[in-house]
Amino acid sequence: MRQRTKEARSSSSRARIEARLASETWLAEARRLAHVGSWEWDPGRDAFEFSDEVYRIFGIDPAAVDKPNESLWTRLHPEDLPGTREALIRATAGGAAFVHEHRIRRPDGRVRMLHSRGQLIESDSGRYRRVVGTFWDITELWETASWPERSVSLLRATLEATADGILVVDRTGNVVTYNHRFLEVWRIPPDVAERSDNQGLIAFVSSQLEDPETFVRTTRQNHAHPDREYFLSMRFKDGRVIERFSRPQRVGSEIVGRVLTFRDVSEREQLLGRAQDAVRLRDEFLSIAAHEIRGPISSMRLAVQGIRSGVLREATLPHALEVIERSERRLAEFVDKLLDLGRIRTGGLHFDLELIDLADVARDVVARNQAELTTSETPLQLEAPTPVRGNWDRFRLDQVLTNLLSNAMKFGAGKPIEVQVSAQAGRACLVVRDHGIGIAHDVQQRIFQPFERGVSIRNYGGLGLGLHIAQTIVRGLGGSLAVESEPGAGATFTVELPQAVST
Amino acid sequence: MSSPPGQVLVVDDDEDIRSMVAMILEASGYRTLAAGDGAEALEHLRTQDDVRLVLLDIMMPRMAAPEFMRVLRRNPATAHLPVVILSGDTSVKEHALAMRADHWLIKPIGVADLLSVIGRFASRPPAQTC
Repeated sequence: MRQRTKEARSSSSRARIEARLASETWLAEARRLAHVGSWEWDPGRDAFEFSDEVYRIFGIDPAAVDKPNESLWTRLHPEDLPGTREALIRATAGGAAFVHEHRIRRPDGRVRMLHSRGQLIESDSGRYRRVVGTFWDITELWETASWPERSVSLLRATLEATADGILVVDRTGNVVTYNHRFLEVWRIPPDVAERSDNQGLIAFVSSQLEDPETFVRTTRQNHAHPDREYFLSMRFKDGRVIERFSRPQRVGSEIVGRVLTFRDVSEREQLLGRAQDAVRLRDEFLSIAAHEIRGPISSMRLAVQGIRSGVLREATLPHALEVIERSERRLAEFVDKLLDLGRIRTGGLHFDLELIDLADVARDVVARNQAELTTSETPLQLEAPTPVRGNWDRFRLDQVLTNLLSNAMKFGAGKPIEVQVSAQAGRACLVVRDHGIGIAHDVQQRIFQPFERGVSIRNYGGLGLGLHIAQTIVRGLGGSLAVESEPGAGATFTVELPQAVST
Repeated sequence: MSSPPGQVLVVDDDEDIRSMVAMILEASGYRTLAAGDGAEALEHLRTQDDVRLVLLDIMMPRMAAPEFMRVLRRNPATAHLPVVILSGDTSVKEHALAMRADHWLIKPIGVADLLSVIGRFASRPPAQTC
């Protein structure tokens, strides 16, 4: 019986031991699952003791460390060291428990977030004095909790990093958010943006547009059909072109608002415009070049075939030969103009300077054009009473006057043309005046640009190079070429040249 | 050669082409009238009632071919007058059809082409007026 009692006692004690062991194992397992480790700090020696789970939290094999001389401080994230230390020291003063969140850095460099709690335990004698507590690895929880904040920060950074202006509005059109580029695109001062509602903003921005009505109307439409996507190209009064894309913002299947992006495409539009202009100029050039070449060739061919076939008789031969000569000259001048343009473009317009008389040049040019003046019944008055000598290029000045006179005949409507040569104070002056159709004010400066013309291509031929070449020559000789004109009242071109050219 | 009834109106701002065409037509027995632009040509049509054919350049000062053709086709007296376009423009055919012209010749033109097309249009009986 005694034996049995003893056995029974021993058996119940073993059961207790087993139960305790089981409970400790369970606790250890529970702690491991929850990532909770125990620690003890001796403030007197500044020494720590850690449970195996703490080592696992620290990312260290518990069997491979020198446990008695452990320190928390080397494991802490440097930024969190002062705060944690201070909190722990505060706990040794008694009173409030140590509750602190801090980061640690594992040997592999990874950072974990710990929630730490501790309590001062002191013997009455004061000989035993420890802070005892737990570390709870809350990294996953912490990351989950900070996700919204980090998403907002990512969204904000993305909004500000994009080159487009972005505006987000809710279903009723109220502003939810925008980036700074949006304010820049619409030139909205930040204080206006802060205090304005959507209607206020629309009023502020629509005044900048060339077509505010379309803008306001489409903006209203966008709100009437919240599920649709829209595109609008907007021309600003300051010349910019902005494209607006607008698409619904959905949360799940519900449309909660609208995201609008504003892209500045002015540069693209300008390049496109310039490319289109260049293509148009090229087509015009080819069309005019064909016209300029085919005209004289027609006259020559008719004259030559007329003579050869015997259709043209003796009496008409002198005129036919004259036409052939004039056509040949027109073609040669056409080629010369193209070559001159090439030389001007490469900066290689060459001058052969010699002492010449401008009045003499004028008489030559007028004489050469006399036949054409007579045919078109255009009176020409040449006023060159005295020699006007200078150190110039004879061939180039002949070209300048030829171009000016050819324009005067072309646009002079058969009315009298005046050519004057004079000199004053070391400067020669050559004036060519007609009383024809004149030049519109807005094109008077443009006509000196290559391929530009003051008149419609439908009415007048010519490459649009004559004035450009004339001005380049005159400037090359140190002079100037100016125009004065009233539409319908003719035009006056004035060349001024220094009589001594130093080039 | 017996002279065909009526005149050919040559409209071109290029004086040399105008005079060569006229000279060849006259030498071939046609009577011609010359004009430097559309406005001058309309003036001739107002005063001369025996024009049987118009040879018309496209690009001309004051009044170019399209305006001239609009006026010509609107007027019942000239609505059916044959017009042959003479142009160095590469798309002369398209221009001619758009302007409701009857035919076209691409510059540079030769004597044979010119006389063949003139023979075809200028020897027709006078257009009916309505």
